[in-house]
Amino acid sequence: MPYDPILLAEDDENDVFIMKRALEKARIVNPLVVARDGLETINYLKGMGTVTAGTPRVPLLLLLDIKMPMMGGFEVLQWVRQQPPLNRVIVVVFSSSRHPEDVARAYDLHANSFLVKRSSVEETAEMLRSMHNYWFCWNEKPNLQAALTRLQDERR
Amino acid sequence: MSAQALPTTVLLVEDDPSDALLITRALTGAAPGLRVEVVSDGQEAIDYLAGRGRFTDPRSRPFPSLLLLDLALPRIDGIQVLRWIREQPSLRSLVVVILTGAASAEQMRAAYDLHVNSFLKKTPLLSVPEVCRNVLGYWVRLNHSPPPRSDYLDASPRDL
Repeated sequence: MPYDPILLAEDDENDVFIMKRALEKARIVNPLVVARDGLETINYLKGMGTVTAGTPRVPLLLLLDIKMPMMGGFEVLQWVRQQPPLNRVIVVVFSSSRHPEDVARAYDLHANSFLVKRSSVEETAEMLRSMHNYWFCWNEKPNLQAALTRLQDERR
Repeated sequence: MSAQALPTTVLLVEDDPSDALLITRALTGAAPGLRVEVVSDGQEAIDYLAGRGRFTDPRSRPFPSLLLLDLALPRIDGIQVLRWIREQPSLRSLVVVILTGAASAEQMRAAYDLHVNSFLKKTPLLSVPEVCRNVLGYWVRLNHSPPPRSDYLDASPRDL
């Protein structure tokens, strides 16, 4: 369970750097997978269903930026929620926007949570500690791995 | 931090009085000034949200930026309440966190398929006040809730 990856959908290099440093500082050991735009995010998630050796593990959490090239966060969210059993993956929108319309839209598209990006590594680390503690240790996880395995078995 | 986006009112749907007290204290401990409204069954939860029954006065039903929902409730159970909420255009985006005792895998699946935001079990550890404050603090100190919709006050929700 500590090895369930965190999938970060983020195009800004600076923000990726802050995230990596903050995860270290917060002593979060889950592997971080970075997708640089919406399309990469979806392709990674699509790869969850292929029966190949070394199939990436289903991310326990998708940290989703809103503004990305190719395909934005809202489109990714919309897509994810239409893909059973992936539709139950935990999505935390992680944005620098505080616009009420963006927050409203995130929840309309069924994001689980909306967090506002911090500018420093320290503040980000503190936020990640709380976020990790909550989603990894307290929230009852939707059982995606089992559902995906069943799906793979059915396809054979 | 944008104050308006952090929760100002929580609707707690909980029929056990001691759990209601523990949870209320945890919430206000985490966010002083937070308003916690408590109802004790599923029908009351719906009446609150719909502005019916004893909740016709708008002042009695401030918009809840967070809903904590037990599953085992008298009259109408938590899953049915959640289903009803997700069917109302003025309410469907409410942040709903289930906070319940024993729950079956099927109930969890149903809840996630109805887009529950989170699912918490009432473990013994969660009844420790500091722990409860810390866990629920995620929703009232960190998470941003959607703004109230303009049609919340004059919603004409479909009947259950």
